[in-house]
Amino acid sequence: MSGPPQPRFEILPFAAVAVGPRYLVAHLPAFALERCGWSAEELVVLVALQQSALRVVACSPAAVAAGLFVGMRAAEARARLPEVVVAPWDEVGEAADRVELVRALEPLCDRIAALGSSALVLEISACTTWYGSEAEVAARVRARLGELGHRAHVAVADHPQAARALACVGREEVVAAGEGAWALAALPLEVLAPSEGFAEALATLGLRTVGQLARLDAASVAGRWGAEGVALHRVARGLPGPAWMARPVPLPLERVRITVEEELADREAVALRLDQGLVRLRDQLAARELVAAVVEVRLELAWGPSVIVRARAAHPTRDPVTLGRLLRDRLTPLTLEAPVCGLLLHAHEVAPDDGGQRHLIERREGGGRWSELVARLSDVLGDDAVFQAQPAAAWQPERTWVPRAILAAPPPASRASPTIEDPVELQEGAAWCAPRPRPTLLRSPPLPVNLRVVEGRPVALLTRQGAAPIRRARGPELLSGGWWEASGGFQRSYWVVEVPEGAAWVFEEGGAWFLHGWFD
Amino acid sequence: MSEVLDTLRARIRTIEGHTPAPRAQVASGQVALDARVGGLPCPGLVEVAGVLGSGGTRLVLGWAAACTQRGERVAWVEVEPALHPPTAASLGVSLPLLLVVRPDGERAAWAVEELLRSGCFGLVITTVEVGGALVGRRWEAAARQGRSTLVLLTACAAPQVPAELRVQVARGAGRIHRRRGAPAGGALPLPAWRPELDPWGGSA
Repeated sequence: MSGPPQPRFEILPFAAVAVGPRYLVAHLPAFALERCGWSAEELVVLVALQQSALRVVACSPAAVAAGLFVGMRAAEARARLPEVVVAPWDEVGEAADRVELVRALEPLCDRIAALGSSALVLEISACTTWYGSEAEVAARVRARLGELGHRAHVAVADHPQAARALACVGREEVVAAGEGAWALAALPLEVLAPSEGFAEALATLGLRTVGQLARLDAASVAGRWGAEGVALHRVARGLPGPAWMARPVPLPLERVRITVEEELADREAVALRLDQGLVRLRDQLAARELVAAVVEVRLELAWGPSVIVRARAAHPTRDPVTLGRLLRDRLTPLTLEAPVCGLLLHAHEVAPDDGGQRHLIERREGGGRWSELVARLSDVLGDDAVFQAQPAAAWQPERTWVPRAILAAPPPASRASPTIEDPVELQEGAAWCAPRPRPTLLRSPPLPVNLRVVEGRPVALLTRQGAAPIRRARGPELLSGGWWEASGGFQRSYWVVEVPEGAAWVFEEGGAWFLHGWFD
Repeated sequence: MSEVLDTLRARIRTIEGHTPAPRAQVASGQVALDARVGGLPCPGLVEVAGVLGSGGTRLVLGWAAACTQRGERVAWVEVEPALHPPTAASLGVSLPLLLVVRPDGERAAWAVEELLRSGCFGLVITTVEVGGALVGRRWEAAARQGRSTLVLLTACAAPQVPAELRVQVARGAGRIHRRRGAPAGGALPLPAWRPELDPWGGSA
């Protein structure tokens, strides 16, 4: 007798089974030390001020083997192991390095985030498409971390806490979907990192393993221990973890993102947000004892490419007033094609804060600061537009001086006239070596002009309005030189001529006449 | 004693902002000008008008030389390269105290304003074209804030800025065209070339 037809089930290959998110956790037990360059064999501990004492927050494996542990006082650690290296714990620097580590692994998987202080979590359900299997993904992550100088234990499970628990105890496994409970059952409850109160409560009940927690009734767990109990109970039972929530990778500490609720259409609103962001940047730099030499702001427009403005401070600083003024000066001449929908501040170049107090009051005084002014002018106008003049030894008039870098402080004023000490000069008299008259204004380049010349002397200046007579002319003064140059040098006959306006300096070279300057 | 107290009270009022800072004058280094008007206004604006070759630059460089000899900085702002620093040095300007700024046309007015407001300069000399009355007022305010003196070299006959002292220069001769607070007028002999620097070699 046959019954109703049984439904037919087709057994699909494992890879084709629809599963929830799959989490890979890489536990880096010595990240705090490895990022500083310490190896596992070195006797090193990191210390920080905790509970009113310097306590160990991280130990190298060699230090652990020698009897040191996290939480002990630094003095006690030194007493136990005099040769141990005690280094300060840089929490802020470690956070920044953690962010960089996340960025370094992004090419492998774009769903990655830091998990606590010593682990990374990746959601790899889509990665098997490229790499073939979860084991292959785990191998690639381990290899990449190894290239970056970090030892890591890697595990894969349905829930990030489950994978983390396995990785923390060194069990590098790829737990199949739905088998998390079996994989965790024998592990101690500490691997789930319960809070102190929850752990004490479980210990009071005689619960020691994850499997014992998993066998509890879900409703009673929720009633006794609330959200934490429910969350860890789900992990213990091997239930799938939450869907991946894309969390923005935190910015490095030298960057500040300023979000705007509505587009900023006028400069004042942009300047206000800029000032607020500079205050935050100051605090972040101060936490790392850094100052900014170059600061950059990216204006993200509602449409079109972003606008990037960069400014250099004369003295590296993190003062928001000084940096804000530099950026506003740079922004003032710009025309924004669209409203601003976001700003990103970046301390492009940073330097350690030497702690020098340059000004008692960090604000702009009426007298101003010379270096700051020069830096601001150079930044807006260009380095070539702001300079001092330095005389140069040359015969060609336009080369008798060169622009030079601006002195930080002017030399003391001196009224003393230079004395002539050369014996030849003293004997011959200073007349022949006295400075020749030169115009106050020099054209660059010289202006071609038409002169009427009679017997070698200019007598009239020919213009569109007619011929302007030259009342008097003095010359020629022959100047030549530079014959060794590729251009062949110069050979000019200079004349001082008086035209209706005043005295001008003209020269003849190669049969052509040029106006070179004015004795204005 | 009462005079001292009055002076102190006036300074306190000035600091508190109840009264404007008293206008001072600084020696220009030119005897005739200092005797006639007491010197250059500080803070304030001075306009020297004259075509190229008339001698205006020579007049202004003399003021710059006096300024640098007092240990104060001088800024020279020009859009087109023109100033010949070695000649300025021969007239007594200390080159380490001379800052040359060559902005493009769009930022020229801004550069002058920044230099004036900074308070780092005793004298700011410029040949920049004034683009309207607002620019002149901004320069005046900046000069007051930085306690600097602006000297505008211009070829325009009409006044370009609200200058307290205006000098007209033509063919080697100068004339005080306008002076705030006192009747204008009076010839102003331009500083003669030092004999060794006379382009005519001392001849008439």
